[in-house]
Amino acid sequence: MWLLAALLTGWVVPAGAGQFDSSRVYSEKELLEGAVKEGQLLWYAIPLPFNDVVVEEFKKKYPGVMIEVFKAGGTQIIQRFQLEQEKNVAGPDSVSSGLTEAFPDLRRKGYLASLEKLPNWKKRPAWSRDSNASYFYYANFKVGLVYNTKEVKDSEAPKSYAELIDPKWSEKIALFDTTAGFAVPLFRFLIEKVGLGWEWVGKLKANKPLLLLNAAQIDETVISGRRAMAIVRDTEVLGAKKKGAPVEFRIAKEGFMLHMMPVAVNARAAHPFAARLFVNWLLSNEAQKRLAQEGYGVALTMGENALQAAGGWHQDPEKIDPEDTKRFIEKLNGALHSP
Amino acid sequence: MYTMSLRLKLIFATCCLFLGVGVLYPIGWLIFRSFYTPGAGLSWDYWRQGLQSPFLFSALRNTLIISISASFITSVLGGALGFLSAKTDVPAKGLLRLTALSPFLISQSVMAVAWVLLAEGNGGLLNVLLRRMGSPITLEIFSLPGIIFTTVLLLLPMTFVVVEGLARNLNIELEEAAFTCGASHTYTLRHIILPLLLPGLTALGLLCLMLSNVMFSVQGILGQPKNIWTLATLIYFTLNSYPINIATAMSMAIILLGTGAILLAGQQRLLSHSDIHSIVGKYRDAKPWRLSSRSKATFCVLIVGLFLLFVALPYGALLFRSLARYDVQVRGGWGQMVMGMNLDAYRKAFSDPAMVRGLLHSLVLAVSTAGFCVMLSFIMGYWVFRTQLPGRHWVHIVCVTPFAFSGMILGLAFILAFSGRPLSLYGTLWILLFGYIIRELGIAFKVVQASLAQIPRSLEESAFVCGSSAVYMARRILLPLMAPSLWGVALLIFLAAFREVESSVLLSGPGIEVFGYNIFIGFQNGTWKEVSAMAIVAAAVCTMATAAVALLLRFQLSKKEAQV
Repeated sequence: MWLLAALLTGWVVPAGAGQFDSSRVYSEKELLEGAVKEGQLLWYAIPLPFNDVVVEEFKKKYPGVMIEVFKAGGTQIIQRFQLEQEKNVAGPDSVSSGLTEAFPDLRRKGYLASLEKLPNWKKRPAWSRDSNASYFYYANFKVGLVYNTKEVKDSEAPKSYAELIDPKWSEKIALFDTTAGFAVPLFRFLIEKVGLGWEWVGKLKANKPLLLLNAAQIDETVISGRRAMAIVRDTEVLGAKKKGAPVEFRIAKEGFMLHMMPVAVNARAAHPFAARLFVNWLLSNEAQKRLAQEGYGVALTMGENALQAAGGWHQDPEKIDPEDTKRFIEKLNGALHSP
Repeated sequence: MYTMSLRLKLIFATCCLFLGVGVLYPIGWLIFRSFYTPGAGLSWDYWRQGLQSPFLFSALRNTLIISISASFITSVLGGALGFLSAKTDVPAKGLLRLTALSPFLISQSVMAVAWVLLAEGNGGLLNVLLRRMGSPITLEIFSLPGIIFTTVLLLLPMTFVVVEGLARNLNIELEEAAFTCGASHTYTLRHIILPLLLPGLTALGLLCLMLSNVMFSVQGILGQPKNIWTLATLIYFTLNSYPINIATAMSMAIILLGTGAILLAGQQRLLSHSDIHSIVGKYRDAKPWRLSSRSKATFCVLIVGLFLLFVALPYGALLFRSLARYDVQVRGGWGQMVMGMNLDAYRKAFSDPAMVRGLLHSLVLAVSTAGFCVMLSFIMGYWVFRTQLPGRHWVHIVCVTPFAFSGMILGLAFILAFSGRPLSLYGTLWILLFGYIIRELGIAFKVVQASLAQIPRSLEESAFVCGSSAVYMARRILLPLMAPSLWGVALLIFLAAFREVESSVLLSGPGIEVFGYNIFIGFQNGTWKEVSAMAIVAAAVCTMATAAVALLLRFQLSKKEAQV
């Protein structure tokens, strides 16, 4: 009875915590032994079909470690994790979200563990790892144009972002709201990097796009033909295409942005061995080779130069100036969201 | 004057403690967090940022338009339908009840999705149909009227149930006296019935006003695509835009909370002047008002029309979406639309352990929430409206304050308050139960208030004079008289808790998934086929619960008649 009361009021620390020595270097075998003793891990992830593949593969590789996934929207994961940390609740063992901008902040607040001592840490290219070793991008998705082939002929479908402002696409475009995880980096890419400018945003707005809350809803809107085209990431669209949906995904002439998916280990993880085993496995060649078979994004073997040569760009959240980003978002909201 | 026993005082004190921990403690956190950010310290800046939001003015204006219009239409429509059902011999009463109650069987977000499927300007099923028929009319659900319409749909069941309960409890001697004196039905309605129902109707109107203010799901899904801002969507936007600004969102939530408090104060002022009791000690079943055959035909057409609009269309759209191929083309012709229909989404819903677990958790939580809310609201209501104990006005305010919470803000406030020491409920089903009770307590309390307002104190005083204890009096006098209203509100709370989404997303966790959380994940995934199937399953569960309560009420009524 007392134990139950103590557990309920948070006075008992779960077993497993406190046995991990963060100053030590553990081999993969030691991580596995520790993880098997802990028996489980909890991962916060966004509800992508891709993440189901990650879980299945991890289960196959390490059947002795039960992985439990708590799915929520990218921003909700960050809100929840932040509040848990503020209130000293153990929370997840590992956390991932499409809101890349939030991860440097989480690191600065001391919420993320260092991954530097993981056996596989240096196996991935530098652009896919945080320079402070607190997170790495276990997946990435190309952002491009999608269109419904029953609504728009292949030859007529836009080949560039610049074409989207053509009045003939009025009320035919679906766009994500600026609360979507990759909206801000994408508009930065289009406005500043590609150079389409704010005038383009204004003309796009004049085409009365439907602004939806997340990428999956945009896909649903285009797949069902309620809107003919949209700017989205490849993962959901290619998945739908495989199942026979009348959609086509194309990389725009201007190049593509990568929507990065960072994963990190909670500094106060209740299952520190299992959490590190999971992230270490994600860093491995074996895992990346298997995940690359899904056909999304670019393989995490490509060097930075090769990525740029292919027309790819991704935002390094460590280089973001929060004040500058805030101003950018305010301007973007004004341009896109004004009634 | 009846002297209160120590035991009763202890019960009141326990309830008071429950309210303090469940309402004031999280609000305290909310206020503190609106001035404070870890690492940055205390500052007024978050409030300044909230008040300087470029969308604040249009958000306030739209919130007012939506809430005033929706609450007015709902009060009139729900009141009229409730009255028709309770007091007249209108035909197709079963269909009328089904029509009025069915919108409550699915969550706000699912109702919004159903109407997007039907009336989205470009590819809504109704618009496709209208275009094929050569009609120039285009319906657009992504608009202010669209939001108001959907809000009315969602609020209607509550007004219907409450007005129906109140109308059943009216003192029939008054109306019979009016008829004996030669008064017409219209005259009796205006001068006898309406004044008797006024306290309940006023309470309901203000309740609808507050509830429509915090219907984020509807406003977010139907307003945001076309830049229609409301306070609730602005809070969501602030919470979900980088950099995540919890403090500024909290400051806006407090503005919303303050608006709710002002409305409550207004309602209290209105009700304090009312002293009309409509229930007397003698029970006799009223004869239903006989409608003319012309009126019957008119109402019948109206009921069938409302049934099509409120039930057949949204549930039909959801059923269609749950069965159709996931890549169904809305403009692809009827043959193509029905081709390849399957039950995959239902199979998935019942084979997924998280889904089944969510269903069971939600059932247990919904039943417990309904039971606790009715019990607590009865005790609190008696304290506030029937005793002279100090602090009763404060108890009243605290009981109804959570109305002004949106589910999302309640979820955040509960995480802040109940994770970590001294009271750690986070990660358990208890936090969900606690959250649901606090969120729904206001509805139960308002119904108890309206119900008690109809019962004259003389009945209790007679019991006390005869030596009855407070518990005996409550069991033998108050509870039987209030039973229809209490069962009605228990059902409403069960349905609301079962389909709750917004706070569940934040408060549920691994292993303690609930139905609303599963719906949200489906929505996030864009898997409308699965979401629609889950909504149909939820509607089936809720229909069974409603039927059970209806049977119970019928049984009670027949027992009462037998006693008389």
